[in-house]
Amino acid sequence: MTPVLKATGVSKAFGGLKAVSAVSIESHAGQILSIIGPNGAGKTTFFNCLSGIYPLDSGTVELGGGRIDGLAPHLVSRAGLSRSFQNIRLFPEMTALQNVQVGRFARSPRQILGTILRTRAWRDRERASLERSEELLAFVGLGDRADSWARALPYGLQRRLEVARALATDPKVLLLDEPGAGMNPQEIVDMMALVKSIARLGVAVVVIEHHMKLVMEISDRIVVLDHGEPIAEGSPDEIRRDPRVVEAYLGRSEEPHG
Amino acid sequence: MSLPKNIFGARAAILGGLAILTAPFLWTRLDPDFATGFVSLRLVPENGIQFLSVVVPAALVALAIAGLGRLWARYGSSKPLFETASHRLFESPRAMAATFAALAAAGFVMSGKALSLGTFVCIHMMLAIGLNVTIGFTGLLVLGYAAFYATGAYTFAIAAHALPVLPTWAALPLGFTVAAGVGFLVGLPCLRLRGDYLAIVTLGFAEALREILRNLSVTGGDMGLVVPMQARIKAIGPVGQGHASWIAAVGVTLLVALFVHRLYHSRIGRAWIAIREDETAAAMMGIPVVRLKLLAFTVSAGLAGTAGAFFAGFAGFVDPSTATFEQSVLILAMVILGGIGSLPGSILGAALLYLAPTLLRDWFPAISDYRLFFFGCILVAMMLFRPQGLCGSPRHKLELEGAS
Amino acid sequence: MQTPPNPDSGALLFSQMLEILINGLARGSVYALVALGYTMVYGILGMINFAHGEIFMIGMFAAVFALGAMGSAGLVAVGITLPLAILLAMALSAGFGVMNERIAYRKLRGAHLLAPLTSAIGMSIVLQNFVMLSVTKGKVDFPRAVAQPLANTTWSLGPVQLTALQAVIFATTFALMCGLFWLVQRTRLGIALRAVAQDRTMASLCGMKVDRLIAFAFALGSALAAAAGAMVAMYQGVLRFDSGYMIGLKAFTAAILGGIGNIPGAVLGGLIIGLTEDLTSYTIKSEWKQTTAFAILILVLWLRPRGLLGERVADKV
Repeated sequence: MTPVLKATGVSKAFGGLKAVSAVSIESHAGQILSIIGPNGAGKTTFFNCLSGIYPLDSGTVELGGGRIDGLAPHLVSRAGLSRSFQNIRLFPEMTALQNVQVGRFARSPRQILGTILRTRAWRDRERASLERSEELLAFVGLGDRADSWARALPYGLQRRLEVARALATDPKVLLLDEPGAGMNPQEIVDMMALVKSIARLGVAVVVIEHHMKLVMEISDRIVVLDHGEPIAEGSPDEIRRDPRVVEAYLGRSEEPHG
Repeated sequence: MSLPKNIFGARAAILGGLAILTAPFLWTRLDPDFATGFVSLRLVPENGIQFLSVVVPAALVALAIAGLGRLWARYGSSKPLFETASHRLFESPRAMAATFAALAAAGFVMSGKALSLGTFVCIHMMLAIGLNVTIGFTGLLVLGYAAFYATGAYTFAIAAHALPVLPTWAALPLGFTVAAGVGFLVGLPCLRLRGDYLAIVTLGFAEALREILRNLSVTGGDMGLVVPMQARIKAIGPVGQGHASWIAAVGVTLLVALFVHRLYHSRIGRAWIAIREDETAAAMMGIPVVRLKLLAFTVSAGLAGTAGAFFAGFAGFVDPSTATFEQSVLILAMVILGGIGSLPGSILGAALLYLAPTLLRDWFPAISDYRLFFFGCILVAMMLFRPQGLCGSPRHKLELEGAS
Repeated sequence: MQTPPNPDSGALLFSQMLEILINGLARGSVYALVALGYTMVYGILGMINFAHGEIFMIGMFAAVFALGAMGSAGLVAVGITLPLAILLAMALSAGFGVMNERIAYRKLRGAHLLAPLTSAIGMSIVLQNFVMLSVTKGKVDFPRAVAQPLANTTWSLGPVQLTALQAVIFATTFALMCGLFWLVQRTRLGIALRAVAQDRTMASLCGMKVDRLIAFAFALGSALAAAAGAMVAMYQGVLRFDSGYMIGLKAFTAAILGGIGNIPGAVLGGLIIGLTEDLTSYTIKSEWKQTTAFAILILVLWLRPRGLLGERVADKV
């Protein structure tokens, strides 16, 4: 099976600091790939590289067979890669529904004249976009909060709204940056169920996560980063037994981790 | 970060500091001695007393209004009254037609002076609504907005001279298209950069344009141009010239507002707001940020051009004063006072800020000198105390501390 | 380009070039002083201080006020009054700068970019019109007796003439810039300022008084602008309430050209803009002054938006 997302030898340095060096991943439709590693291992930087926010120093990123490295973020998004952010970045002064509708932007046709004249075609498409957005809100469990201001939602629901907004772009690949951060145990369980159901829709999901127990439960494959370098890759069982992973997390005897 | 300070103490310190710093300007007068070439300083109270006699009462009035506003917010309705009303109006063609008919008919009982004043208010409403597209929706500060107003006005005046058959209504598409084109070209180099560059570039553009208008012969230099009679708004049957202008102004203003309302409630409008709220996240949603900023800026410039061309057809002349910094600041203050991002806010702000100085002029002639000073004060005070404007919802993004 | 018909006019051209160079450098060093204020505030707060040109204008007036006060007190020895007037102007403008920060910026530090920008514009309008209302709508003359002796004293340096006034401008600018570099690079205060510029939250966690440091940066930038203002007032001989506007625009262009936020960049940018202007003023009529300034700004933004010495700063995600 060919992977949907294939990143090869992705590297990024800030000044002298190698944030990400030679990281390669393959992500398949319907599967969940997790990226783990200690704080500062370069996970979020890697996501920023994939999504076009940082230009790459070297390496390639392919999505569905086409190159997406070097593209601007909005083109990456149009190519079928969407993401959430570690520190939630919703549009706070819009309602939950409007946030998701923004995600439909690239998937609805351009119609400036139709917008101004409110033609029937425009109204039909606007309704279609609205219905799809409502559907997505319901999918993440926010069906009854459509008209709440995004900033007024509780933290856990904001994370879910971000997922719905990302799904609204009809992604082939969804990058989730710590979807469980700051949540209580029950919310984490719910979030992981949501991530699994997204994968069941046929989306290739890539997750950065810290809660090891959950990573082990949901992941099909796991990549471990340390100091920007990939140190291990494999199934959850393989990773659990890998001595290098244990070392990266617990620290080497002479050197404290961080 | 620090212990809660005594608020009163901090205010007293600011007032005291201001009193000391402004003292040399307020209480002294420079006396040049032409014979020796030296200058001496004399203590003169009149200057300061005159200044304070205007500023202190104005500050008290502002405080009183702010206090009433607070009372209203606490005990009155806290619903965004204007927003709801405006939404209903622009969603219903019937309500719009009724509004138009009522205002047009009101022209029969308005005096000539009131009609002309009303037409000017409408022109400023168009300008405020147009400026709000960039400032309010997209979050980009434009400082030289009057430049596009002047572009529209001159475009129509020049075109009417070149083409004697040009009908009056052509002012609107012509003003829009040319000003939008100019806006596009000005926005192109700076919209990929940080938002604050646009502010200074548009400011520089307005000054440069005014210089160009004053120095070229095709624009009539300092004197400006007279618009040929056939291109001006004319009397039709029982409707006099002033009344016809008023009807046209109301019609065009409603159309401009409807245009902006519909853009706002569409995917384009949502994309604009998304850009204002978080550019990176907006880009990640597939929104071409630069292109949409450029679109907002172009539309905004075009609307100013429409207003400008209308002005040319109504007033019958154009001169470089249409592009002054004062004009730009006036429009900016209207948008800020009414409410950033609020369509009814722009309408209200334009009405208040155009009418107030004009009405005050009769019993307080010095107001024209103090006008700009007070506009500046409005900009600062609104940002500090009520960034959402008079009729914005009280939880606008600007107010939220974005410390993340 | 024409080839000079004889060697004589070639020499003339060369001395003319030198004269343009001196004038351009004098003008440019003034721009550089003002550009430093833009760049310091930008470096620390990440925003353009729109009222900076007005602080420059306040400095112009303050210098004349100071000279007037000393004149009334019977103090007329230029050697004493001029340095004292510059210092007093710097002090008063520093006060205005701090007050400006306190009123228009501090409360809006964490807000959306539009808010501090708007209040800064408002502040600039208020300051300009305050001076117009409280002093005069018309021009104020810089005391001739102070400026004339300096302007009339000339020294010949080979083929060029250098006036004492230009020498004063060069010396003052140079001294102030050296002082600023020393302060920013070598003192604890400078280290603290740089720390605040890099990470305000972290600096405050390290126990730095961030509010005071930011106010200090404003005071410093304003004082430099005031010194520039005093010298320009002297050089031009007249001042008006709107004299700060054009200089502000040009110094801002200079700051961008050098790379905004970058202190040596501001100096470099100022000198380049000053030189360009003097070079072009021989060919371009003064009616096109603003258009030329605007064209340069657009060109800089178009070709090199990050400036000559600026670096690209990535958005934090």
